[in-house]
Amino acid sequence: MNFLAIVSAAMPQLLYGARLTIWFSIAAIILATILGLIFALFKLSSIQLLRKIGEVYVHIFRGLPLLVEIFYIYFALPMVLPMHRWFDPYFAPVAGVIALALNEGAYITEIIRAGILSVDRGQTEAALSIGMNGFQTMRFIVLPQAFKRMIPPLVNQFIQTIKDTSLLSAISLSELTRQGQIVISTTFASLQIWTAVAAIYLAVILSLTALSSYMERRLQIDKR
Amino acid sequence: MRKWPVLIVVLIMGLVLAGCGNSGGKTAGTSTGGNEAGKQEVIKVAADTTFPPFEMEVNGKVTGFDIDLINAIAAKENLKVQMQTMDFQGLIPALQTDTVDVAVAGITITPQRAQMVNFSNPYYHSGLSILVKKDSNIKGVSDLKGKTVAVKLGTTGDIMMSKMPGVNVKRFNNIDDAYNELQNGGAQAVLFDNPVNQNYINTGHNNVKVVGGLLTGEDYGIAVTKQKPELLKKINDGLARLMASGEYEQLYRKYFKSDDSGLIKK
Amino acid sequence: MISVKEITKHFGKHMVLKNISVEIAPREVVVIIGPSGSGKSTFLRCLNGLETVSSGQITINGVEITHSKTNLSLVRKEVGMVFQRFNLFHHLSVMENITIGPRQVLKMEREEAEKRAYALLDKVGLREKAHAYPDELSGGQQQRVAIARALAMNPIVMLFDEPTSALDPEMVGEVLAVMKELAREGMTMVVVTHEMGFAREVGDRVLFMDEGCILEEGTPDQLFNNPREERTKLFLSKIL
Repeated sequence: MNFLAIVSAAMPQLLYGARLTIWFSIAAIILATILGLIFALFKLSSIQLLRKIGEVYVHIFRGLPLLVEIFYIYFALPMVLPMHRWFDPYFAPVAGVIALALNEGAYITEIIRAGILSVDRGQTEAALSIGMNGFQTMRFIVLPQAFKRMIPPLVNQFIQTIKDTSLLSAISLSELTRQGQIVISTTFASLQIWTAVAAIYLAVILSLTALSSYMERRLQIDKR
Repeated sequence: MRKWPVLIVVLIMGLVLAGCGNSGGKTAGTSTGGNEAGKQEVIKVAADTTFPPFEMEVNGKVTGFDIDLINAIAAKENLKVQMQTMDFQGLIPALQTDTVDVAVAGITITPQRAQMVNFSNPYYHSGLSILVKKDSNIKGVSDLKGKTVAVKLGTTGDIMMSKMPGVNVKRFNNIDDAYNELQNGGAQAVLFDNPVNQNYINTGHNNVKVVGGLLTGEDYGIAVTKQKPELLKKINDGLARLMASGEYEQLYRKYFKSDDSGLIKK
Repeated sequence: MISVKEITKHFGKHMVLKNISVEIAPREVVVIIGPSGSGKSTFLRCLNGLETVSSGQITINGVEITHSKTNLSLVRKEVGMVFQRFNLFHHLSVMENITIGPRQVLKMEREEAEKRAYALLDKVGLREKAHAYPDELSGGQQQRVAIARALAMNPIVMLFDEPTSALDPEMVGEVLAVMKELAREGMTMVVVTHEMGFAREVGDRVLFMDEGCILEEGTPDQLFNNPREERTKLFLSKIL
């Protein structure tokens, strides 16, 4: 059959899935970055309890496969808590995004922590010496300098998140991979459809890569 | 002292890998090709093992009505079965590319599927039914409008619900996940092949029931790759012989006892 | 102004500061010399809380900074510090380096902070570099900006931790010139340095530290010309 005919017939459905993939990715990335920042600061805190909490979070969510985490939140939790009733009818996307965010957040915690630690100690000492407290030091002096160094590993993690959204197909979320499977289940055109799906993923991820290169270049020029 | 954690990890990994070697029984050993005594032809068979009582995995062994049937046919036709498991949605693509020769998974014979693969004569008469919680007020297909229905991806239940407007369809890779969805309240109904629904009820799930009777009449066939038309002949031949000799009915009773609804009568 | 009473400090089993007591009066310029490892930098960093003491008390302008309930950031507004490696904020311009403290900590308005910054830049002779970034400046220029940054907080005492040790020789003079001017204006200063010329010119008192103790102290004239202790004589002979 005509490759182009099959693909263009399926395209609306695939693009619908791609839009969902992008939404899930953005939601998960934003949430994961917030989690990463919080737990990185916990791990760097002088309060031992906070440090412990940060360590436990990273150990658990880095130590489990993402698919298991997705299944746990979506299939296991509802057996003890009425999740579907609380989130009706959005529990599937909510669970999916939360699972993604918790998982990616653990990796981002380590990226941010490493970025902060890579800023010279003298910068912190100078900030403290002019009377800044810990919060101001972090906000005005350490984090801005750490941020630039974190961009490459963070972008890497964002790309990973986009790819990880394909696992959400296992809980019936109709993102791009799932749409591919659905189309193939009635047309049986595996070669054509998977090629189209792969092409769309590549387009999305390569755009993100280009955007990050652009950001990095601009930051070299504007900031030191 | 530092080396102990490393040693323990290595030990555990060694045990795990050694343990993996033993469950290789279900993917039968290599065949001897076609030239040895008896000239047994090897057929690669794929089954989706989440479809009790047609195929399931019990204690690492693949078993069930479909499995026993294909093994019996193979015995009659001097064929050697090499079994592997696969997700349902992958079966027909695998047959198209000749990755496997035969697939059994309670596959309903449909015109669309028949374009892609060959089907044997029917070996079971089935139909879709609706599974709901006992306290549900869904009584039939028309009550599904506006509800969420869990189905298994690519099955006739999926196809039927996808064509029905106003239904929120949730597609899962395994029927177990769909049943879970019903139990957890994420879906109000499951649409699936009746025998499997009945089997679910009979395996300790008393809080669900079937409503609306049999929605469709469907026949299951053994799917065979179009690239081996001779194989299709052999399988139909073997099936016919089993039916003539009464072995088919014997096998049927083993799994379905006195429930005649699926029996193919000559 | 600064009162140090019997402070000790341990790093693990090693005792870095052994029972040090000293009083520093307002407007006094105190220079601390000594071999490396003597604890002089550690002592200096105890004065603004960058290091904690294991026992003893430090009081600055009536506030006991070693007390557990003291808010150190409030104290540090009054105590300026200049580091050996400058520690200018790399991502900020010179102007931003100098104004960020007054704006964020002292809550000063931007125009006022910038006005004062320009005045300070004039004082250290670097007005034309206001919008440059630290890595565009030479070491001597960076250190002068660092001094301006510390002065922007209007401190009552300035601490200097080997301020010229990381500079190429030809730039030492410009930094010392700024420090001498500060001393003449009456700033209370505690300076850890090897620059004996500075000590002689504007120092009121010199402390010789060795192995965690203040071994000897006196006016520059007394210490450099008539050292009493053997180890003082030994040290001086090596560097003078």
